[in-house]
Amino acid sequence: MSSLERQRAFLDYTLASLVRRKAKNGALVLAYALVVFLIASVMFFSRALRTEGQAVLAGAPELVVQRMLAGRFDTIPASYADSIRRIRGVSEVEPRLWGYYFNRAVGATFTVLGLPDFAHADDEIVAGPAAAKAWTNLQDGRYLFRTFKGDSTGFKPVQVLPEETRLVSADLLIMSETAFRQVFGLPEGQYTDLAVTVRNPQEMQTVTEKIQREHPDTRPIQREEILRTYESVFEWRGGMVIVVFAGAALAFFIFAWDKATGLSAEERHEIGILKALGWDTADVLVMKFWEGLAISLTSFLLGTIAAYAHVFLADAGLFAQALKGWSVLYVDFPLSPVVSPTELLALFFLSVAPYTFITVIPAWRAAITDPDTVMRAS
Amino acid sequence: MIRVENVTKVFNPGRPSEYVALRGVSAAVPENKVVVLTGPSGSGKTTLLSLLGCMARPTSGRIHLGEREISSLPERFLAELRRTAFGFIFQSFNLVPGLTTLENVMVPACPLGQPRHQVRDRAAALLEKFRLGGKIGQTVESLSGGEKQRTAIARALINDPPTIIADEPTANLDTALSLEFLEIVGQLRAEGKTFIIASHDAIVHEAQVVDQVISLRDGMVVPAGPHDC
Amino acid sequence: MRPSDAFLAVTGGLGFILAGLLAGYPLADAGRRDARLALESQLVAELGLTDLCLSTEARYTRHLSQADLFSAFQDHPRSLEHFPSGALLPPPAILTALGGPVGGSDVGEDRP
Repeated sequence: MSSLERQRAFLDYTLASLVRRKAKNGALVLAYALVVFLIASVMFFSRALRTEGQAVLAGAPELVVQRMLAGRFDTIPASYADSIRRIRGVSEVEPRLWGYYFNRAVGATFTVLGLPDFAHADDEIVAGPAAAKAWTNLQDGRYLFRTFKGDSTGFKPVQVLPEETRLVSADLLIMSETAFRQVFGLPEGQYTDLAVTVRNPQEMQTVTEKIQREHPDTRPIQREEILRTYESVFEWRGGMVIVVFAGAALAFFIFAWDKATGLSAEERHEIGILKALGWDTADVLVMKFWEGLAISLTSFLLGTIAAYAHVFLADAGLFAQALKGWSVLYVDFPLSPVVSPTELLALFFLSVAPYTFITVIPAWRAAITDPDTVMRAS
Repeated sequence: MIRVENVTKVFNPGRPSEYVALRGVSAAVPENKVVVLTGPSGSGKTTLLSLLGCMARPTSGRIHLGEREISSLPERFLAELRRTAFGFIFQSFNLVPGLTTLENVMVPACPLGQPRHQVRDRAAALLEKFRLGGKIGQTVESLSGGEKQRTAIARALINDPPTIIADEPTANLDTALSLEFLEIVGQLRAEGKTFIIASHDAIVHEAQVVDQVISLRDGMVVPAGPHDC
Repeated sequence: MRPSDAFLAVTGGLGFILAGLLAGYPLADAGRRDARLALESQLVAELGLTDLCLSTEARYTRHLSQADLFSAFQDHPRSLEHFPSGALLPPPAILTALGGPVGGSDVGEDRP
C-alpha cells in the first residue's frame, strides 16, 4: 500500500495511454522540445557571450577620450593628450591610432591599428587570425594596401596573432605608426582617440568631468560604460531572435493548449470509466498530472540538452548570424559554457508548469462529475 | 446485505428538464445471491444500479452497505467503496481502448498502491481463468464480443470485491455467449460473490442461477415473487 | 519492463546527461578557457582594445562602444542602409559584387 507504488501505478497507466497515440504525442514532444531548444539556445548563447565580454574587456582602457566635431567622431590632436596628462589623478595617456580598411578584393572590412612602439619594421605587419586567412591580394607574399592617395603599398606579414584570441583579434591588422599615417594620410600630431589610465578608480568620475570641462569638444567613454553596453547588447539581439520565433512558439502553444484543454469525448468517457472503476477525483488528477509532467519534462530535458550541445559544442551554428550579426569575415569563436542557474530554473518552470497545469485543469472538470454518466452513456 | 430505503432520485432538479427516475424504492440484496433488476427502459433500473454501486447519491432516502449508511458519504469514500466493495460490468463493457487486455484488467487496482507484480500476476491469473491467457498483450479492440465481456468480468474481479454489479451484461451477446456469461455468474456465486444484474433479457431472469428478481416500472418496485416478471 | 521504469530510466538518463553537461563540461573546459582568457586579456591590455570582434562589417557592430551612428555607410562600406536591418542582413549582392555601382572609399571612409 505504499504511496510510491500508487504513484508508479498512475504513471504506468498514463504512459500506457500516451503510447496509444505514439505519433501524435511523439510529434508533440518534438515540437515542444524544439521550442525549448530555441529559447534555451538564445539564453545560453547570450549569457555566455556576455560573460565572455565581461571577462575579456575587464582589461580594456579605463577611459577612452574621443573628440567630437559637429557632433561627429573626429581625430584628436596630441596637445589634448598633453593637457589631460596634467590632470591630477591621471597616470597615463596613450594616444591610439586605429581605423577601418575596406579591402575591395576580399569585400571585407578590417580593423587597422597603428602602434608607436611597433616591434617590427615599418613595412611589416601583424595580422589577426581571420584577417590572415582572408587577405588574398598578396604580391610577392606582401599585403597590398591602397593608400589614401590611390597608390599601392605592400607589407610583409611577420606574425599572426594566436588563434585562441580571435574573439578580440580576428580582423586586426597591426602596423607601425609611420605606416598607419602613410596608408591613411593622417597628419602628424593627430590621433584617433586617447586611452587614459586613472590611478585611483574612485577618481574616475572626477577625472572624466575635468576632461570634459577642459575640452568640451570631447566625449569620454568609461570602461564601465563599455561593459554595460556588452551586458545589454545581446539582449536586443536575443530578443529579436525570440520575436522571430515567437510566431512559431505561439503556434505551438495554441496547439498544446488545444491538445491539453480540449478534452475529447473519448477522453471524457475514459475518465468516467476510471471513476466508475473506483478511481477518486484526485486519482484522475494525479494521473493527468503525470501525463503533463511526462510530456513537458521530457521536452524540457531534450530541448535543453540539444541547446547546450548546439551552443557550446557546435558553436551555435543555427542562428549565430542572427545573434552576432552578419559578416563577410567569418568570425567563429568557441564559447566557454556559462549557464545562469536562475535562467535555467525559470526556463524549467516556464516549460513544465504551464503545460502540466493546462493538462490537469480540464481533467478536473471532467473528473468531478458523477461516474454514473458512464452507465447512461452506454 | 445491501439495503435501499425509500430512495428517490431526481435528475436536473428545479430545471425544465427535471426527471424523476426513482420514487421511494425500497429493496434488499442479500449476500451471496444473484439479484436481477428488471423492467422496461426508463423504469429506473440503471439508476437503482448506480445508486447501489455508489456511483451516484440518492436525492432522498438511505442506502446501507452492511451496517454502514453510505448515501451521505463524501465522494472520496464512495470511490474507495467502488473499488473495494464492488466490481462493475457495463453494458458496452467500457474497456479502455488502446490498452492491452492485461492493462485493462489492472486499471481498478491502480489506486490501491499494491506492488505491480502482484497485481499483474492476479490479472494474468484471472485472464487465464476466463480463457484469455493468450490475449494478454493484445489491445482490447482486437477482441471478440465474448472476449471483451470476459475481460470486463476479469477486471471486475481484480480487487476481489464481494459484490459484482452488471448493467445489461448480455445486451451485446448472442444466446450462446449469454448462457456462457450466466455459467460464469453461477461459478462466481459458488465462490461466494453477490451479483446485482440489471437486465430486461429473458435469458437472464429466467436463468436457474438467479435467486431474486426485482421488477421496476416508472421508478417504483412492482410487487412480485421470485422468478416472476 | 513496466512503462514507468522505462520512463524513469529515460528521464533519469536525460537528467544525468544535462547535469553532466552543466556541471562537468565547464570543468573539463576550464583549462582551455583560462588559457584563452589569459591570452585574450593580455592582448586587450597591450593593444588597448575596447571591443569584441563579433561582426566586422558594420562599424557599430565591430566597435559597439565606439560607434558613430550619424555617418553614412555604417553597415558596410558599400551599403547605404538603416540601422537595425544592416545588423541582421548583408547588403544586396549587387552592391557587394566587385566594382559594384555604389562604392564607399576604400580608405578611412569615416572622413566627411
